[in-house]
Amino acid sequence: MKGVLERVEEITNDLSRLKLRSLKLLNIKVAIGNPSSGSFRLKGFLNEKTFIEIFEFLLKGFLNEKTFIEIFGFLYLGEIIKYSYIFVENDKAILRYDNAPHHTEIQTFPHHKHLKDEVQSLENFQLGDFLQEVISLKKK
Amino acid sequence: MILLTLIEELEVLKKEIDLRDWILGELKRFEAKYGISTKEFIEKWRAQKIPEPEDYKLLEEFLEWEGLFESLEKVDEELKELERRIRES
Repeated sequence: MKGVLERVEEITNDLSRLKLRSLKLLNIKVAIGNPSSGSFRLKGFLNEKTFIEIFEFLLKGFLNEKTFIEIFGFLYLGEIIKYSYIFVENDKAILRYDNAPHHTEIQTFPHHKHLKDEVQSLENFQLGDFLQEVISLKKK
Repeated sequence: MILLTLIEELEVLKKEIDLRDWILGELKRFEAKYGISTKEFIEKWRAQKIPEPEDYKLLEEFLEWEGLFESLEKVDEELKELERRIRES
């Protein structure tokens, strides 16, 4: 059973694929006597050099810290029950994966994604899928 | 053997109660911050009377609130199951 700290470590390793300039653990809560329950919030800023390799389009954005990825997960006994992964560019939300109980019309409810101003179905909602989509978006 | 099992069950029970207390404390924090009860929030949130926020930080807060509520439900189920097992032993 994965603990909150292990999950933070796992996500940090996942995010290292993006070679972050900095990674901030903004908030972490671990239930007393139960390290598998709690919540956390991570915010990763991309490394300037890696940005050039992968996120060419974002060079200016990364310099003013208005372009970032934020990962939120709420765990119960090691299982993610609520999540929100967002990619913000120059203070504008570009892509977000989340499982808020809205958009019941979506086939993959409650899992859905916001791509620019559209809400779409979301079949693969692992963090790795999200990061891959961010990379694809920046290559366009 | 039965005594050992009972002690183990009581240890699990203590952990579950600690976790329940922690969840209740967190729920109270949200209730105080937003001025509504968890029950009212969950009803409105799931009925989409509270829309999905554009502000992702607010969304994270609401997801955390909902996650805590679901966790409380799971803990309560586990406590009931534990109570049943202790009564039977």
